[in-house]
Amino acid sequence: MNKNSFYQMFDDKFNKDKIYQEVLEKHDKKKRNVIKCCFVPAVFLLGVVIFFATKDLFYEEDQNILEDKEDQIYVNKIVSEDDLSDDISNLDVKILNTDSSTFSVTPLEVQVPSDLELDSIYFVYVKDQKSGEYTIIHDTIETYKGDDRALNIAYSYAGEVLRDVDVPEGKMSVIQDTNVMISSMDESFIIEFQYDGVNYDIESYHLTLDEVLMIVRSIIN
Amino acid sequence: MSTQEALNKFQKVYDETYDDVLKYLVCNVAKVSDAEDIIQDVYLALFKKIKKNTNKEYVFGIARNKLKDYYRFAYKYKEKIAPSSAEVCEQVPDNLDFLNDMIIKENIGFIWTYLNKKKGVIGKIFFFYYYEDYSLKEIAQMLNISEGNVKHYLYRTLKEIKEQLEEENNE
Repeated sequence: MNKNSFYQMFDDKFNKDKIYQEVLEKHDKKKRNVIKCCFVPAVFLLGVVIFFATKDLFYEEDQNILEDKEDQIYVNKIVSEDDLSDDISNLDVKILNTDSSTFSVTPLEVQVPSDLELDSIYFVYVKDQKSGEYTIIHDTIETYKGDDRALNIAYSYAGEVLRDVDVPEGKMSVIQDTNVMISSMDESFIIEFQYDGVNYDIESYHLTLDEVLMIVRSIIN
Repeated sequence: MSTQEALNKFQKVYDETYDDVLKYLVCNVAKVSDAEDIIQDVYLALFKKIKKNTNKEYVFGIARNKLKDYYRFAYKYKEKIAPSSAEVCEQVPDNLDFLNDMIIKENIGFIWTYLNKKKGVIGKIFFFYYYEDYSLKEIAQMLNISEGNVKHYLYRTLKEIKEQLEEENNE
């Protein structure tokens, strides 16, 4: 009887005991990965210490240092959700937490407000046209959380970051010679720019403009 | 709190909240398959905070936040749910069990993929009808659509699945 078959199909995905075991396994795996991930920043920090200790050996004393040009900041205000083009129904992607993926990723070296913690990293997969499987990573999304504050930093080597809702074109800001589109709606900022061949798409919730600009500058620096 | 105490507490909260959280997520995701990922994220997040005073409201708070993460903050998922009037005119029989023994174990993967390619509401109807055993009326109330639409979507999709399976069997 098809009722049993359909039940089995859903139970295969949502069985309570199965999900419980998977959560426990992922939790244990995360703890092991934290130890592994610590090596990356530890090595990075060691490199930084060695660099600053020895940099006089590499640079001439009379090196010219350019002063920073003044940035031009313009915030485009999105007045209502009607200004946004809602295409989520058409977005053919699969989103997976990196815990569920065979690929691993190191978080971006970016300066975020100190109260925000890295919560998750997701991959956004698009379909491989030949196989029909969602195997091509298009975007990586890092999500940061604080107390009623949040931040998503999405980046892509494959083109513009895929958006579920398109933000209207507006006036461009210039930050350290990089064109940056800054938009705001309610308590959110949306920042889009390309730097060094990578497309970035940042969304913040309850962050100030200064905090968001700090994040952008830390990426561009 | 020791590790064993934390584990016991987590299991208790998990057992008490899983069914309701799953239903909440399925009602609010774009596609039923999305709930599969999000529910794991919810309970992973809960596990990290299990030493706090956790209750059902707290778990639902995590679920809401995970939904927001998944669909990126305030941008709401919108879907035109009602079928066109031409589709609704089709006669829907009372007995929806006409696939009988057509579905075998090997078809299940295909049916899952097929359901998740359809409109999100269809997967949700199938989930609540076949897995949670809700009536058509209850499903209509939960998804805020008419009972007629629920029945129509069920029947129409079952018919399509039947045609697909017949085609496969003839190959």
